Amino acid sequence: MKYLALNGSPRARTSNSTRILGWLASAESSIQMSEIQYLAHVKKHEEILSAARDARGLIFCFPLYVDSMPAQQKRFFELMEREKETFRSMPVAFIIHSGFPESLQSESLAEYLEHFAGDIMGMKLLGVAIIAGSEALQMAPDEMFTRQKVILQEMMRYIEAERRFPVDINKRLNGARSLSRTRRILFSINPFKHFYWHLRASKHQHRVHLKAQPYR
Amino acid sequence: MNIILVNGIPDDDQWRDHENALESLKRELENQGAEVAYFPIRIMNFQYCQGCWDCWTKTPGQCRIHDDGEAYLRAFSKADTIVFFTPIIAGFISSEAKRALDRFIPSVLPHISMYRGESHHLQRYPEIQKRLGIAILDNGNINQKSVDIVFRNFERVGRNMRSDKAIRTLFTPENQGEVLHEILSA
Repeated sequence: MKYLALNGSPRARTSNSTRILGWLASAESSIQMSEIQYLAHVKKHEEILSAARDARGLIFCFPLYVDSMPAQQKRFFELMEREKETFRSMPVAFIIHSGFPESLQSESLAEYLEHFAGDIMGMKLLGVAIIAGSEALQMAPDEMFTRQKVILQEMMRYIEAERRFPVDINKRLNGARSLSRTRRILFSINPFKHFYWHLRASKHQHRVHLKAQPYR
Repeated sequence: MNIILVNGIPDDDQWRDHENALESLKRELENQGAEVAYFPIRIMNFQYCQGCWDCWTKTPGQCRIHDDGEAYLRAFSKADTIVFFTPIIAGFISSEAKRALDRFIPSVLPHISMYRGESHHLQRYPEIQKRLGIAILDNGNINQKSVDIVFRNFERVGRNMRSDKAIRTLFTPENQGEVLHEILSA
């Protein structure tokens, strides 16, 4: 039986979640992972739910989205909740990522996921891994994320053994939960911090004013 | 006052009395002189955010999806109070309420700055200080841990909206007077 890989990103195939799940799929492991299922396609939720029922376990990956999970991902959780008994004791792992540089921004979501998997569903929670600063994945090669990639690939051994991720996993993935005073100052004065957005805007034919107020 | 009420109630008969009470609350707010924009997400044409970021880098402030979300963004640009009404489902706000929350993304800028020691987006319409509210539908059988998690999560959302004032309340068909008072007491 395979582990089902579930991508909850609204961007579906072109998302950072797809890339991160690819890291897991390429890990040396005896675990068989399914093709990625894209929860952005809500019309396919029943079909995906059916695949989830038959899986050995579930691996979810999605971005922090307005401080929790994307609505499409939440809808899928609601469908799962209707058949708690089916999922009781099934192993589940979550990989969540965020464009913010601090991992603490994702901790509220992690708290909810533990509540959902453990208290609400009675599933066997293997862990919630947080990756901060993931927006850089849009421009950066995998080499810039080697540490995160290697650590997540290590987690496949835990998934294989159905063991909890180590308690320090998020410290290993991200370092400190928040930015130090020095990093905050450097961040504030960095003249290139918005380069990516201006670059994206410059690709359009027309001139784009990023701070426009169209409804004023 | 300029108020947005988001009705995140799903299609489920157990919440009909709550929904009627919410509609009555809306009328009462209007009677008290507030301008109210009401968004019953379930029955509106309100699609899921696609995460395309066109609203940041192609048509800033505007969503590529032309549905009722457009009126919602227009209302957001001038609102001083936004309150989400939602039951707890699967331990969190409903996917209807979350769908509405996600569609706020055009109302922030892609730009980040430090706020209360953390990096947060700048507001597209910073002229009006917003107050963010969450009213959890209470049927006498709600999980307190879920409520606490949702309230804590909305503290995070408020911080991302750079909103220092908040409404955190339970909502029953009987306590709309108290909720009305809380919304009006800016």
